[in-house]
Amino acid sequence: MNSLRARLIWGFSLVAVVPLSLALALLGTRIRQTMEQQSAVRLESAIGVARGELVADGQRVGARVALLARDPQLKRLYLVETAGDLELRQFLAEQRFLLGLDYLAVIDSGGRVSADASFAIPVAGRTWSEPLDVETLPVAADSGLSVLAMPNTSGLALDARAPIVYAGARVGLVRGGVRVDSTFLARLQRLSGLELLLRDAQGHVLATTLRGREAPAMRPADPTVARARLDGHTYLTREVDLRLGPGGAPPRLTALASTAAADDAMTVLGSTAVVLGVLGLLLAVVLGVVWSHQVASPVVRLAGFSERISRGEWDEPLAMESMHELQTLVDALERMRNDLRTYRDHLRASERQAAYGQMARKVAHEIKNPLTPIALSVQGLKRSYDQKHPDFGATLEEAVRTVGEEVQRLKALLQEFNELGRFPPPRPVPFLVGELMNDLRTLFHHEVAAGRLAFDMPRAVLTLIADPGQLRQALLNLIQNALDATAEGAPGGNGPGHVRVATAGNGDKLFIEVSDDGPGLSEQQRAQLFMPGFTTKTHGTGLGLTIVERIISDHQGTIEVDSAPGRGTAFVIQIPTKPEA
Amino acid sequence: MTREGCVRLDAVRGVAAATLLLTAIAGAGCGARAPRPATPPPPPAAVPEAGLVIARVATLRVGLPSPRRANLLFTCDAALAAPRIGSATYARDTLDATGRRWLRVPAPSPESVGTRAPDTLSVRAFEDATDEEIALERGELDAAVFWPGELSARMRSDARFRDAELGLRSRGVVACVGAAADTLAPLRADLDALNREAFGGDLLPWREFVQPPDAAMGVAHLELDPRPEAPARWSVDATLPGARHLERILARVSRPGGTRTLKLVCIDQPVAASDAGGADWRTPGVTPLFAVRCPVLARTAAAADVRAIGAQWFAELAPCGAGAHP
Repeated sequence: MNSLRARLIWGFSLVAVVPLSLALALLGTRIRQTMEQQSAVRLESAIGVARGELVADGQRVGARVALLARDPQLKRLYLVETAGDLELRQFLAEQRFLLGLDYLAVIDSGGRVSADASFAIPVAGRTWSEPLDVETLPVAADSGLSVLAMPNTSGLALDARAPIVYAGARVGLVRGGVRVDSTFLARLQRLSGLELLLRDAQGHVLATTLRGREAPAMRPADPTVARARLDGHTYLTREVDLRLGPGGAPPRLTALASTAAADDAMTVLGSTAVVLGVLGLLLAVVLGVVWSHQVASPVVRLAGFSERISRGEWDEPLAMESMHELQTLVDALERMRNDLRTYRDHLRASERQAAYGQMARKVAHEIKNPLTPIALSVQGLKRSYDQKHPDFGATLEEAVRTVGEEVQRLKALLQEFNELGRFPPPRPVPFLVGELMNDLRTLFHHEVAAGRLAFDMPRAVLTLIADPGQLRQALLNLIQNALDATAEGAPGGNGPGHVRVATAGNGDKLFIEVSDDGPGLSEQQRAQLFMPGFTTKTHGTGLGLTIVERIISDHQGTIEVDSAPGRGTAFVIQIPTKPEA
Repeated sequence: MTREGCVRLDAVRGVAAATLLLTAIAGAGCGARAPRPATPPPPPAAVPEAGLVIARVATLRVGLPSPRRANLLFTCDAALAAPRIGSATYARDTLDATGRRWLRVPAPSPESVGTRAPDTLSVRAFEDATDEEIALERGELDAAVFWPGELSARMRSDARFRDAELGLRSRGVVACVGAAADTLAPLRADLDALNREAFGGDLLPWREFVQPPDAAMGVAHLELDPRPEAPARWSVDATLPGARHLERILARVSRPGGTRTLKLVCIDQPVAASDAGGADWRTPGVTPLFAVRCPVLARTAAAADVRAIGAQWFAELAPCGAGAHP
């Protein structure tokens, strides 16, 4: 997650997925609520239709029975003795057929059935319907309409009673009704499209449209819309009383509205959400990759460019076209590079001029130093000659020797300056660091044997692409400086000090440390350490460390010094194992 | 005003005027419900049939239409007054909890024979004609009085009651009102069809009504309409309870082609105009069509008594109706 690109991809993914997920979740919730509300409304409507149908049927049955109770023929057949029971029963059977009733009877004032229509009527060769035995029905009031549970839990009956009034007095009643059974529920189901269930007051199922399925458990007379599971399907249920008249525990009608459509819609919505989520995620990742590449790539290049700038590689311009916002940064960095290069050139020129001045002063000083003994020798020689000094020969010999020595020193000095001025660029070739170390150990075998110099050879085979001659020269200077610095030993120590050369590598860089336990350097000495002409030695030229820094710099490496008075000095060189082209 | 016809050209000229006059005569009209005490008029003298010997009638159970029982021509809500049969009057038997029993006053002697009124009269009022028929069939009644057209077809066709008596009520005339200058009579066929379809033939056509003996001539006579008959468009007085039903029947049975309009009304007036000049409803444009006659059914055992007493007395027992408050 530290990568800008990864963060951008994550960001795009979250931006794409989170709102989509929220939107789909809200949409799904809304759809479910809407569909459940519609189901509830449909449920209420169906319940209303069912009750309305029941009431309408009841009113029709009641009106027919009441009408029949006033029928003169029925009254005459019932009241006139000359009319036989057979006539009345035939009349009732015909009326039952004509009025569409399932049962019909005349009951006397004592509650006994005088006559009923309990024999089947053949209509067009078929029996119309199986009549119901009125005497098996529960006792009900003399008049009115009620919903009764039929015997043997075979359903309900819309039961209507109407008095037979004769000369202002009740002399009997007509009782008739229709079954409220599965056929009735099937009719309501065709009207409402819902599953319906009839139970008695005790909860026993009397009739149902749930063919072959177990009825769901319901709380008694639950006035709210509830949920029920049935054969793996979810239903919204609503239950109402079917009370049409006073008294008694009324039967209950339960309507069940399947939520399959809502469930299917939610399943489809869920699948769609997953597909859209995956597509959105993929799209977000792709866009994140593309856009992060577009954003991060210039940043990476700018970071690399900044890295090069920090390394002092200011010559290569930043050739890059980017977005408007980054282009400002690109231009600023490019201006900074140009400025740094200009400052560096100016600094180099200044340094060069300063070095030249210092060098001139050093050369003058170095030349002046031999010239003094030469001049003194020549003056002594001339004075000895003018005075005819007897030791003129010895004096001449001494003068010649002195002049010769000083001339040699001048030649050596001029040679070093000449070499510094003609220092060639490095010619890198691959070589083993171990071989270089062995070569140096052979060169300083006396010091190694004396225990003053030690080499920590690398444990692994380190290969370096560099100019082995220049690197050897640099290490020679450092080792020699360290040996010179420790020749007199540390203050309070026993004899000369020690020098250690250690090498290590990490694949990309080679580390070489040359350390000693000499007297160390002061702050001021450290600041001037690599300045041409600076030396702490009596007869040094002050160009050794300058040459070392030049070599290391030409190899794209760095050299750092860690030193303090009385704590010794350590030079650490870092060189890339494969120099950039 | 003349007994020979409904029309007198120099009399009232318009139907409206005739209607106004009839309204003034009949009070609220035949269909109105205004209460009015039932005061039967003095009965006509009963003429016994030759050779008929009547035993004493101890008790007679009679069924009557309840005051709330309407018919096509009128409604009434008068309470049952003390019955009167011929010269016999009755008083309520105070020991009878039902209040139906009436005792003849003064009580006839046990030896009296041929008296044309029962000693005890048990009167039941029925709100439903069917119940009254059933009561008669069940033997709960000896005689039953029905309003014109009420009797069921079953009872009319029943052999036991095929020869039922028809009692003429003393009040109530079904008439038509037309223009005073109308010189045409309604079609007899239309009237017969109306009587047959709506009233089962119970009404007495005016042409068959035997007026009581003229005061001057001293003989009874038939009142015949000499005018030529012609089709007419019929309307029915809206105050009649069965106005719409009667209109439908008239529209169905009347012969088409009529250009004049006749209005059927029911007039609460005595049918027997003993003095032709005194019947002030007989104005030009008003033509009497029917007199109100009630079927009086009797059980076989009581049929002779009823016939001997006279069906008109039973028809008069109804507490209201034409003659009382049509």
